[in-house]
Amino acid sequence: MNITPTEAADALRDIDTAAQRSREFKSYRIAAPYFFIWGAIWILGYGATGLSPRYGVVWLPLILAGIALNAYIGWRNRRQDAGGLRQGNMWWASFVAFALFICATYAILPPHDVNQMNAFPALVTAMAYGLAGIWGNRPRLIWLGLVIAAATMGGFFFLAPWFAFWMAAVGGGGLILTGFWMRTA
Amino acid sequence: MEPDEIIHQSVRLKIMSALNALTDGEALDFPRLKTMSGATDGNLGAHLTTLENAGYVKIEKDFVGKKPRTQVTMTKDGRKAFARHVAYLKDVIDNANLAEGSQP
Repeated sequence: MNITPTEAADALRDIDTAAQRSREFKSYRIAAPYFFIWGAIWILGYGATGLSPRYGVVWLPLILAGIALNAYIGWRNRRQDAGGLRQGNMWWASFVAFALFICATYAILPPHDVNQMNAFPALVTAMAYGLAGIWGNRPRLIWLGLVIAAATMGGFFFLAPWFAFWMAAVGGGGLILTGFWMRTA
Repeated sequence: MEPDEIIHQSVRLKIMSALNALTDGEALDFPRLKTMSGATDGNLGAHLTTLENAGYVKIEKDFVGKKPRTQVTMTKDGRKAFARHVAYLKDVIDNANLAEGSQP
């Protein structure tokens, strides 16, 4: 069997593509549980804020619970394989960094009303997914970022009275659906 | 150095590349391999059997609830053979580049 240089180059390209897809699909599967957790947190947090802005305090215990669950998943991944641990840690550390960034921004630039307060984390989330998708070559994350940004802007300007419920349904529900989508990869 | 004729076939090359990107013992199931290789059910099954007969992959069948599931992992021999084949491919390109460079 003789393989020409052109055939060899084509084969190496196929190998790179298949390996990249395999790693990409694996990272989606590792990420899926994090989307379930944060989807549920969005539904509960935004749902409570929609009932009354006074219930906004539930965000703090919800975020702490989210961080604890993320840490648990990271620990579980460690038992499976080192690559899963690294990716798992990157995911949950990113969520923690994101939560801290939101809190710091609110301290410096307090929002004027509850809808602004609700919209900002969603927009930052959308940007984070978009950037992660662009830099990590993960098209599903880019799509998720675009959908969250569009849903947030649409809801903020056109559904102001029901904005928190809109974010609970579309944002939280969207994250959970994304988790299922990731899991099928 | 010789090419590995079993691995070099296009679909089998994709299967082996996808499995090699995972850690030892990590499996890919049939639907995921089908998506990654672009093969039909029958075609993929035949290629997996060829790889299994060569000792390059291990195929395990079980049930999740009532649904049958086929899990494929790469064996140590498979990983070594794949590394040898990739080295061979790189060698072909390196030799061609050397020959090109030595021409006046």
